[in-house]
Amino acid sequence: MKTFNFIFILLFFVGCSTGTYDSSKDIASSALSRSISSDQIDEMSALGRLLTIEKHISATFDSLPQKGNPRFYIFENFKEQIHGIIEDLKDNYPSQMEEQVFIPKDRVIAKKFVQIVSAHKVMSQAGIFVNFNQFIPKDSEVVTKNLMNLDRSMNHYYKALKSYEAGGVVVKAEDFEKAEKSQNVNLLKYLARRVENSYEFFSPKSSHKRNIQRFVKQIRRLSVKKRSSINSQVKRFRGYKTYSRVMNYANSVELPESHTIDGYEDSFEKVESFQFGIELIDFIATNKF
Amino acid sequence: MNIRNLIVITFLCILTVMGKQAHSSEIVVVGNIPDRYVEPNSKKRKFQLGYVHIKDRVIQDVQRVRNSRELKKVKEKFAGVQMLFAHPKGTTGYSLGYDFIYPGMIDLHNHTKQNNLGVWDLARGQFKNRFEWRAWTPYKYSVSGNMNPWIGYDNSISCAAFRWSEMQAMVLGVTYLQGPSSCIKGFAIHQVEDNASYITNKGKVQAPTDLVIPADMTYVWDELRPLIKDGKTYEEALAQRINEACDIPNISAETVNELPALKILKDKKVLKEKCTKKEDLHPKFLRYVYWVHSSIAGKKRYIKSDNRSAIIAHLAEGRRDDHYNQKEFEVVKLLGLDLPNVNFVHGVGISKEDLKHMGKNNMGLIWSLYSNLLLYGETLDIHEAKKAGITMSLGSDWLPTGTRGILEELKLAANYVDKDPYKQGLKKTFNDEELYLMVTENPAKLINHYDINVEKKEHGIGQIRKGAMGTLIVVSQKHKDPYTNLVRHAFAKDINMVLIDGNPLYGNTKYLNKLGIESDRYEEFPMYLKEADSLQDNVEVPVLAEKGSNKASKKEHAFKVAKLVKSLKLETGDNCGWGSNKKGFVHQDTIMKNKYLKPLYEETGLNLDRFEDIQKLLAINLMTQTRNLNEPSKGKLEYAVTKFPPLISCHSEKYLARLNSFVSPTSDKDEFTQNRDPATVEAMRKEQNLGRVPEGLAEKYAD
Repeated sequence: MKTFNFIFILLFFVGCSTGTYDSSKDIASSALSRSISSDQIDEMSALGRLLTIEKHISATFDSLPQKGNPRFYIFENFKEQIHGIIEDLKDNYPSQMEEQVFIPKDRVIAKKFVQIVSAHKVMSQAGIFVNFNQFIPKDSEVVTKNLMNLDRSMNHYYKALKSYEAGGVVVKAEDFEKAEKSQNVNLLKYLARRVENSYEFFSPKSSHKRNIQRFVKQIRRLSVKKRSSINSQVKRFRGYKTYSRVMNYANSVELPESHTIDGYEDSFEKVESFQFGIELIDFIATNKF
Repeated sequence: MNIRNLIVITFLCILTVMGKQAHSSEIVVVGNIPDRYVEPNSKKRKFQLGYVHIKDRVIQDVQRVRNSRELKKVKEKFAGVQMLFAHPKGTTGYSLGYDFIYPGMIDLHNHTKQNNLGVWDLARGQFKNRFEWRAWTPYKYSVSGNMNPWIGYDNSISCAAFRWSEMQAMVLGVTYLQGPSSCIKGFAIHQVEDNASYITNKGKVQAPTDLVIPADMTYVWDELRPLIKDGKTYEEALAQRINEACDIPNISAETVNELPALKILKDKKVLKEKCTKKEDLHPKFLRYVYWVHSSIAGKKRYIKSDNRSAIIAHLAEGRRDDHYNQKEFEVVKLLGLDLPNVNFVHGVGISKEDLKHMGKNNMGLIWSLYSNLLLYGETLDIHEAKKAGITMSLGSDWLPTGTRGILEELKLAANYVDKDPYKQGLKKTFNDEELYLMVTENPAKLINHYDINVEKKEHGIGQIRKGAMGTLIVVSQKHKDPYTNLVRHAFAKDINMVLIDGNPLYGNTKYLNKLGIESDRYEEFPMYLKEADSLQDNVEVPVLAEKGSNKASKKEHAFKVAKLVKSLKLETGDNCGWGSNKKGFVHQDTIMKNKYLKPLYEETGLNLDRFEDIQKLLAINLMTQTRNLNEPSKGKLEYAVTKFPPLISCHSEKYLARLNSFVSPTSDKDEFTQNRDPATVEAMRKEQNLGRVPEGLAEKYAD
């Protein structure tokens, strides 16, 4: 956790990038993060606190340049994951979520919060990969600030879960590991969808197309629910010839000319979805399983 | 020969004659021709009755007809050839009441995917440059939130969107339309970027949206500009910087644009390993060298080649006083792309000095007036551009912030010239003939397709001359000056014939009938889907959640929705009141040869060669399948489209009323003037939290 925090402090000082900006979202996310830290928290239900976090996530999402921005892709996946979990909690555990706590003391519910913090962790770690990539524009000061505010908010949940983990009943150590792997698999599948939607611009050869389609299907088949461990599934996936071929395609990609209203943003959207998507898939598959 | 064979041969001859009348590649059009092309009998007139003979796509002859005797000779000369006497009363004798024949108009700026969205109501002249509104959240909901996800469900749907744009241009007399398009080959009008639109040996017209990428050209501004200002060329400066930062052999001014060097510079692994000589590398160096430089090098190779056509790209779009807008042309000069046949759309921020530079360098400008005024409250300084000797043409841009076509743009341009907001004597410089040239000869010159050289197989466009391409329009005569007629008096109702390479595509049903094209071979226009606006309320249409959808599920859903709309009995109607001026769009037969449209037709019955089906497919998707309607976590309901925009403006009184009154030559209470009030604009900008984007760009491109 300390290393985690250190990296984020480091990131805070990373320089600005270009990209577009909506100042209203900066103000919104700061206000939200202040509200979650204030005394008003004590009066909020578990659901109310989560919904406040979700607003914060939406505000951060809206502050991100959307096109050709790998940070946006990672965050979009994160946002979708959180939304799904919140909807599940809202629909299936309405009375427990009325308690005025961060996390109700219920193992089933707590494990869902473990998924939430794991999604956040996976998003953050992928974000580090983005930030250290010299070919990708850096986050703007505003986006960095919004992400730091979000980290502060999420820290409440980390702390609550850690205190439950200390008790060893509601939350166990292995819950975090499983949840993280599950979230990494979700991110792989999200990236695979991006690659699938963009490869046609870059792979005119039919053999290339076939390999990419196979690559995408292999990712879709990964599952934490299968009998074989996810680690061995991913190891097998990385061992296929398809894998190394696709990595090769991604090494040298031309920026396509864009003729649409979005211009160069559209060009970078296509190329980053394809190339960055593959690079991040490689990073996750190599380092997270 | 026995009787049976004789009957068969006779039958075949009749069929051949009928076929020739309907599908002949030869046609003679008789009508009034402007005096640019034929000399009038009388000095009091600016037109003369004449004929244009087209065969095998090319104008074979243009001659005036001075009296009945000459007309009779013309009829005798072309006996057996399809002849169109373009007279509203059906006359085939000598008269000055014929319609006017013009070259088919050329629109050099359009975004063809989004013309089925209506005008964006939030554009009120408040923005400073185009990056500002593109980053604005309400814009994303208005455009992206309404175009997605359905436009990406299947290629057949984007086909429908592109075909819609073609038709929107066609009904307003445009015959060459610039804009990204696919699966439009042989459907309607010509695409500017498609070489099959011409008879030429030149390369294709290139039209990237952006030549200058603000996010990444800070590298050029910061690191190359000082060297270039000191006298180096772009290539010398870039090669020097690469050699300072990287241990890569054979990079020099002579090689840095060439393919072997580009191959190395496009290898990420090599760049990561070899570009470690400098610790304080510019943050955009690697991005620029890897992504951007090769496209600049490619553009330079193209535009310097002998068989180039032209480049068209956006530049300096926004207000004249926006700092970044004023700098964009300087970036073009730094890149060394201030070259002949490089043309810019908008150019509002280009300074007087740089306009002179453009004029000297034979560069062009494309003027999108309505779009500029809606978004920024001001437009290109056409007076200074003309003084600088720059050739200008009109562009409609796109319906969300522009007009449906340059015929409508012309009306606004005429009003703007009459108003002369900066008191520059615009009426003197831009008479109606000058404005006419902006939609005919000027765009042809800008894209390097004006010259006629039959030996070299170059057949120019935008003119009615022997050897030019036979793409013409025929327009009602409402004013005796042919230029004033087109510029100020002709509307969609008055486009009486569109001929593409001599083939009738669209026109008055009476004219089509005379050419042997009967009602079973065209769709009648205008045509508007009456129930389009109520589709979301009256029909239960399935929706596909974006999360978890993949290519296969999207296609399946697209076809399900298409099948549903085909099964609905949706009525079409017409409130335009064109009476005997109804038009017909001749049936095209492209879908069975099209890999996206053929499966759609076979599985759903929707035929995207027919406007009715194009309209249905777009309507059902725009009105029921948008992110704004169905994905509350990504879209906003308040931005969802509630009215399906019609193809022709006569079905949108509100649109026409606004366009006609937007710039008033006689009043300062017009929207144009109101949008320029600094206090109003500032208040709007403050309320909408605008400003950071242009400020950010100004910082990055500081002097």
